[in-house]
Amino acid sequence: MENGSDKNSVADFLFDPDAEEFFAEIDYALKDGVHFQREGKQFRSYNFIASNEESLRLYYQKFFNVDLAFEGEGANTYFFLDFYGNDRGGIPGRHRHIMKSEHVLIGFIIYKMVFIDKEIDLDSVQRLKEKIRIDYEDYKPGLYRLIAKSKNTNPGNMNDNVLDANVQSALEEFRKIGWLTMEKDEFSLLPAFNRLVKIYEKHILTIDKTLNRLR
Amino acid sequence: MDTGPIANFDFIKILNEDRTYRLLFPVREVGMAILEIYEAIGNNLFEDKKFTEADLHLAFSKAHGVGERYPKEVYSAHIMDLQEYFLDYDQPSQKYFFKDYAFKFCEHAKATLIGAFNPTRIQNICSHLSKSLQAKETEEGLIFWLKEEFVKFEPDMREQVDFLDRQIANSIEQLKQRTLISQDNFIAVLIATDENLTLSQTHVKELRAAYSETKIIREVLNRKHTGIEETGLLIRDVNLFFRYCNDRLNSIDRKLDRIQPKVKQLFTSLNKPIFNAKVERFISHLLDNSVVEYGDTQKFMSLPAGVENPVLRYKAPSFTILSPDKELFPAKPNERKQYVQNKEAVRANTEKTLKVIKDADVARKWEDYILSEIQLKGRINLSEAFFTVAADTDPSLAVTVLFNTIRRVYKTPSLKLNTVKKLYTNLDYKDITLWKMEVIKIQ
Repeated sequence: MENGSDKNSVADFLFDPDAEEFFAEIDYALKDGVHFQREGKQFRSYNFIASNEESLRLYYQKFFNVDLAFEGEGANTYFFLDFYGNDRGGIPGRHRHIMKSEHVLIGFIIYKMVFIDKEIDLDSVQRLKEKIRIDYEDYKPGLYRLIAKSKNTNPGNMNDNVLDANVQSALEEFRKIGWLTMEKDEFSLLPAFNRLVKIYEKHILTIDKTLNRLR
Repeated sequence: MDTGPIANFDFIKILNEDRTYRLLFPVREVGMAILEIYEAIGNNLFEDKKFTEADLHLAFSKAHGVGERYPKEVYSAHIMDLQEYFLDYDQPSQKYFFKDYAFKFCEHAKATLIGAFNPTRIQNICSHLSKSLQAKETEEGLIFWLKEEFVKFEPDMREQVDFLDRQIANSIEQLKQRTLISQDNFIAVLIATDENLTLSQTHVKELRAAYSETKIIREVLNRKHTGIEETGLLIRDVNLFFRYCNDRLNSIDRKLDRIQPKVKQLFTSLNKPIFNAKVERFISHLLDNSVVEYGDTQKFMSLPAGVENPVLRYKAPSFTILSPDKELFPAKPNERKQYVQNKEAVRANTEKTLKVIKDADVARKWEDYILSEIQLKGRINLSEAFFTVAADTDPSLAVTVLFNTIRRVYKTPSLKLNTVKKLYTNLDYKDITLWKMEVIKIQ
């Protein structure tokens, strides 16, 4: 507290008794794109962020010009550093990591499977790959063209292998940033997976206009 | 108990032989007719559980389909086949009745489909097994328990885990059939699914508690195991089975843990069917309007114009760590300590050792000499011999010779040592006085 006022100070979090144990690790992870939720190993880190939310927000705003954001509802809330909504802050280009378009597309297909088609018991990486290849017939030509980068939009071994490898690398990327957990063949989406839809919410809400314009 | 035929039994080969498979697993119409009869028996429609050939044909025709010509001759052949494993014929009453295989076939199918969850039954089975195991006093009793009693209940225990698995799959299946359900009653289905999953979770807990007696069974088995190989293998199978049940319960638990939060999330997405439709159109937009571009070395996908890729993280910071290269700057080795031998001490010790060896040698020679003197002369004055040795060598060696000689005399029955209480001295050794000792050879 500065000058006896109730206002949160940027340095408050440094005096948290847990700061020594958690802050450095959380700081690296947040900058590395990790989303923190009340989930497994992240539980205590999430609590540290939650109890120092204001002070940490000031810290990231003041020194890095990025927003410590909080999203979700009920038990499914999560923290992350929003590099997107603030004109990319002061992060120099060489330090930015941009998610690959292939991963964005695969992320959306996983979202549709689980939250729209309600495949909520889908927990095997292998089955996910098979489902994308077999059950989503309409998407196939697009997936082959864009992800396998193949002119041949018919099913084939080569196309399927590239598709599988891309699904795998997308899952790896999502795991790194705390959107899902994955251990061997088992994966499970975390609340922060919703972030993908949040990022593109504006585009989704105006999709009909966009499509009309393109016609 | 003879395990020979079972151990050598090639199940697949036997099934493949002749028509064995078809006889054990009849075609649909025939199997359905058997099940029809089974149900009728259950409903007490047949006296003494026996039925006529006409009853069989009626059941066949039902399974065959209404309105189609019923080929009676074909089905008569089937009856003959069924007599192998399913039916028996009672000549006096001219009626058929079920063989044991037919009952088991139908019962198992029915129990699997009903899938009644009954942890109390499992608890009773486990405690029955535990009690009967504890009562087995002999190796034969233990083997009987392993081969007959436990094996009989194993399917029941396994079936309950299967049932839980199916219960969860069914709850979720209902959710997925969204085309069949309108938005309004979808909420009802979702609530029901949520409740079903919570119920499944309780079931897992109950079943786990029911299996807790298996811990005691395992302990008793380990205690009763006497190290006989055959019993050991059977006990291993029981332990593996318990572990299998436990692993499956764990995996069901994990599955529920993963699914339940997602069901809760569906409640939120429920209010946005329009949004979901838009997400689907957005995916189509991404698929249709994204392009593949050519980079320096490889092709990459670009999202449609206006749709930007998310910046999600800093590239991991790389720290410059300064540490000397081990190859270039190897660590200075510790100086090896050299120990210098003290040659004088080595020489002195060698001399001392040699002297001890030499003395022992001399003493032995003197002993042999004294004994040979006794053999030759029949007696010897041992006290005098002592002073002779002392004069030739030194008194301490003479003590050794005297002591060893007395020891050897004691061990030799033909020799005897006489000691007279009279002192024996020698002028050269004034400070040494001995009793007068004499060794005599007994004839």
